[in-house]
Amino acid sequence: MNPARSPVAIRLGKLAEAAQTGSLHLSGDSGGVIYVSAGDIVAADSRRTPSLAARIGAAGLGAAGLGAAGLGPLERGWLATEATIDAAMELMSARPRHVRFAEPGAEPGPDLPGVPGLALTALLAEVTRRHRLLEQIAGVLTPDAPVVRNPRLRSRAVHVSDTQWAILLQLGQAATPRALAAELGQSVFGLTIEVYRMVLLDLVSTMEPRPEASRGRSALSFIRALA
Amino acid sequence: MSALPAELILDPVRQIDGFVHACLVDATSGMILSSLEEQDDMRLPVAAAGATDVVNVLSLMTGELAADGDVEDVIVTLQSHYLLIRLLRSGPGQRLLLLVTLARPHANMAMAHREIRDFSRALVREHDWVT
Repeated sequence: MNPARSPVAIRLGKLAEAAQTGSLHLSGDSGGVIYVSAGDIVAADSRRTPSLAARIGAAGLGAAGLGAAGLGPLERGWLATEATIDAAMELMSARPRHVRFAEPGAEPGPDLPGVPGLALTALLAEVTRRHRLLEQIAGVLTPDAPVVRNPRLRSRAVHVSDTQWAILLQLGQAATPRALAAELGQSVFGLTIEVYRMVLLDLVSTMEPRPEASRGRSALSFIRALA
Repeated sequence: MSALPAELILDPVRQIDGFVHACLVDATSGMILSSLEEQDDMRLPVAAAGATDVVNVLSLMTGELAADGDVEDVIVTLQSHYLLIRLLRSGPGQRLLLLVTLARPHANMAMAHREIRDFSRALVREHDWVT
């Protein structure tokens, strides 16, 4: 499905056209809230992605909030943008029974002082790009496919990133990228990409190998995702 | 994904001879976090996506070769341009790519490599990022 044509994206388009400010509430287990300001998307929370507070806590940046020492405006902006896009991507593929728009003040606002909003066109372009990347690897891994740690290394040496180390330590039992993202307070999309790279490195395996999966060959191309 | 204060931090790169454009890219998601260009350049997303792919492939290759150490930087020489990609870590769990494109007739590769390395080190130091 093209996320740009989802009912939520169409609704956001109307809010952007009217330069509305407020919050769009989506009901259900895959629901959440998208906050808009003058038509731009300033924040999003999904029940299926870690919150911004969880990400800040997990990054060890302090629980005092966005103004915590050690978190500059640069890192704050990146963290908030990633949280917004990650959540918006989930919400655009949701099928909520009820969608309700609330004017400012009617509901609590996002805790994001000083973080710039995203134009809807930029958000849709990024969500579409990520959607295409997940489609590329869907034959091997999805955010909801359980993976397990492999007991033996195939290579003599493997370079792993901080996140991949954290995943290996967390993977005592089978877990999905989405569950790992919640545990580690990171992006569901980003965790899925990292776990996919770990499948290629033979560090982890999917519990339910798919017939079209081709071990050792990377199907992931960021260039192709732009096409 | 512009409009972040990150634009300012790339400003010193503009001084490098032959500068065409530069961007900071999240190495995991491939998303452009910050960019700097002389004029609106539609090729920047392609360059950023390509840099992410190149670093992914090289990381897999160094693992397969059991080569010691991770990728530090990548230099691509085209007939008309140089592309320099440098890896940075901005904190736990986040790896960044700094991509700088230079016009070859106006650039000195050795100098540019040194300047980009020094800029990256200063950036890491200034923002208290992990080395």
